[in-house]
Amino acid sequence: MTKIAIIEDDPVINQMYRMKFEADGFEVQVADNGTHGVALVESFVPDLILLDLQMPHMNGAEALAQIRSHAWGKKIPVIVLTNLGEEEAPASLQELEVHSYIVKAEFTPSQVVKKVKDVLGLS
Amino acid sequence: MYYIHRSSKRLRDFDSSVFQKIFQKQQTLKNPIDLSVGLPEGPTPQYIKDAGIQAIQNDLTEYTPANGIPALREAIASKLLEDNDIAIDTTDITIVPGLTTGLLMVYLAVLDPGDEVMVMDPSYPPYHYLVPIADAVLKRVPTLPNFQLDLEAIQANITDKTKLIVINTPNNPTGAVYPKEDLVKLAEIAKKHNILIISDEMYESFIYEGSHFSIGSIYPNTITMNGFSKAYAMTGWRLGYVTGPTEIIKAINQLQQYAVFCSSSIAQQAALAALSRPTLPRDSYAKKRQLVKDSLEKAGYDVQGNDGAYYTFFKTPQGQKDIDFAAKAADHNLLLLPGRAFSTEETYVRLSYGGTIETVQRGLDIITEITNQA
Repeated sequence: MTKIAIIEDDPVINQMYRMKFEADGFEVQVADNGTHGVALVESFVPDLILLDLQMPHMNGAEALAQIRSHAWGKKIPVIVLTNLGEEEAPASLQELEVHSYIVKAEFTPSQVVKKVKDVLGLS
Repeated sequence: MYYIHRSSKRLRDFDSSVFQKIFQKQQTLKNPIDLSVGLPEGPTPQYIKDAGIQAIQNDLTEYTPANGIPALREAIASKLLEDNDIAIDTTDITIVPGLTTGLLMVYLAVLDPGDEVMVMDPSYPPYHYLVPIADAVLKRVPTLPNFQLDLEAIQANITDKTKLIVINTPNNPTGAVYPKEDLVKLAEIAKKHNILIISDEMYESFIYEGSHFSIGSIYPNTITMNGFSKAYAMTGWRLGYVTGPTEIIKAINQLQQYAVFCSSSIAQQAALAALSRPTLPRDSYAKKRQLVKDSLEKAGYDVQGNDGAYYTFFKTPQGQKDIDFAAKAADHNLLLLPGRAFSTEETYVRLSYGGTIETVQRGLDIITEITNQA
């Protein structure tokens, strides 16, 4: 089963995406901040990460930097969830191999699932 | 000497609808101000009527497949994806002769004797009245006083026999719109207990505060129901649609084959035309909704819900019985629906502002007048 990690502090969004991905046959785990997200990725080893940027404790860019610093996190594709678009992302993210950006308000959950399937070659 | 047959036991105690009583009362009044019935403003749009007439002229008047004509199901599938984020195959959609009949067929298709059906109180009467027809057990979950989902109460009422939870947002009779976060939580609860959800979204295009969210977009064990009566002012055409899990839609199709054979071919052609254009702007409804809220609050009422559909459900002054208050209104030539049609509570009435703004204003003036007399 394809595994997705959702690192997002908005409980409505992370639960909504979790329900949607599970309905589509994915195995999903969620974390509500960057610190929990890093721990989740290490233990869960997902096939793809959906990563929010603005989060308490540790933001998305810091979390991704930590994930990429470990062997287990170097190759996992990451889609960043933003409110505004790629311009919202800090410059440091450019070095961390983000696959693509999704503006949350512009994507329905179905479109997010489709995007993930495209990235993973599951379409 | 003949034995005089009675109705079945199943229907013997079936309460005659409050709606019928109102219709009877309506006959006795001369030009009543009718804020009782849930009719949308204005007639069916001309382009839809033309499509119906064209269907007759083109002899599209024969039986259709039990689940409806493929073109209409395709148009509905596109609409569901675009508006509701529900990706569904056209074979998982069935056309029904109105949502009330659709609801009965869903109940008969999924409920076994003894299954429990959780219905919000207040809510559209067929949700509760049709449960015993399927030999199932009704469980009402109050949403008073703010008419929102009480997730703790829903959780507390779940048993191993709970099969269905029925929701309706925007809501008839309260006008409440359930927020996305509550619907996501409800989906989680339902998933945890493997419960089917019926989501009646008939009023999705009538929202003035908040936005519509279809629980079926994230929870596949949802039976989403919608129709053309309100969105396109087609109440008398009797046409709706049901989507959901494949096996359930198949069962409904089997039942349709013997119970109704098919929905009207003419209405289906008209509905296909309806979906080719967006629903009409709701500006006039938004104005009426505000007028109702302002007038009732000025008269001393606590207005809850009222964020969508075109209904307001308000508590009668000084705890008057709903039927007494409605009777007093009828004495002033105003028709309102007693709340007991929708609820076990008997101190609420439903006001429909589907009519013209002038009619609604006249009705509100009478409510203010009889409130001041109380």
